[in-house]
Amino acid sequence: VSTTTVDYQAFRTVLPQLLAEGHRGEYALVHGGQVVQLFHDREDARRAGYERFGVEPFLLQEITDEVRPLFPVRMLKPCHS
Amino acid sequence: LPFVTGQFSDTKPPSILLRVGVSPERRSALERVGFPVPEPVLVSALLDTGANLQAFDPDLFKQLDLTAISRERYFTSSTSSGEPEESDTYEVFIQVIMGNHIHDVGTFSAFAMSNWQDFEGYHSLVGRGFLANFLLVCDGPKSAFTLSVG
Repeated sequence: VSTTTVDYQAFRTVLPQLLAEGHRGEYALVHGGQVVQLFHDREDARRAGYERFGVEPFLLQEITDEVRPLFPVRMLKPCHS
Repeated sequence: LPFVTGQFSDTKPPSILLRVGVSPERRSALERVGFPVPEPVLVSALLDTGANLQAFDPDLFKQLDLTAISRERYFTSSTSSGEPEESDTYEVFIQVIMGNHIHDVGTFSAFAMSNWQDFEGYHSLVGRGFLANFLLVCDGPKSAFTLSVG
């Protein structure tokens, strides 16, 4: 299982709790299988990710249960690492 | 101002040449620990005014030795099961080849998408997020387009 999948599953596990606590629209910095910090601004979360974890993998996930519509004009298959 | 022109037809959609590399932040992180910085990769990309995403073949992200920055849930017109699909997104720095000039566009989150067909001539597309940085003029009668830094 990739680090991306581990971190993503950790995020999905705590997502209902984060939403219930009123963090909708914020951004979660995820590393090592846990949400390590929340940010109001994505750029702040991104900057913190590079400062704290450098070249190590980390995820930035928006705290939302809404599903984004995508509009590619062609059929593309999604990929997972 | 820098610009690039191109032709399109029924069988050749409008495309441009990009240099795609790691973000400046990723570059700095690699340099701090003495790791090599992957060279940017040249790709031909579809100019897709109908798309609200940037998408590249997963091989490009492997060449840049990137791991995903996010995993996104989404639906499209072809999402038939009712369940959202998921795809990894990666952070890349995009430059456009404009003649002898290389224009820095910026850092983008891009989807990893496969199923590109070789006959199409590209394995990537750039949509409205990318195009928001340019003036795009489509000359239909001449089957030509101009992309310029507006």
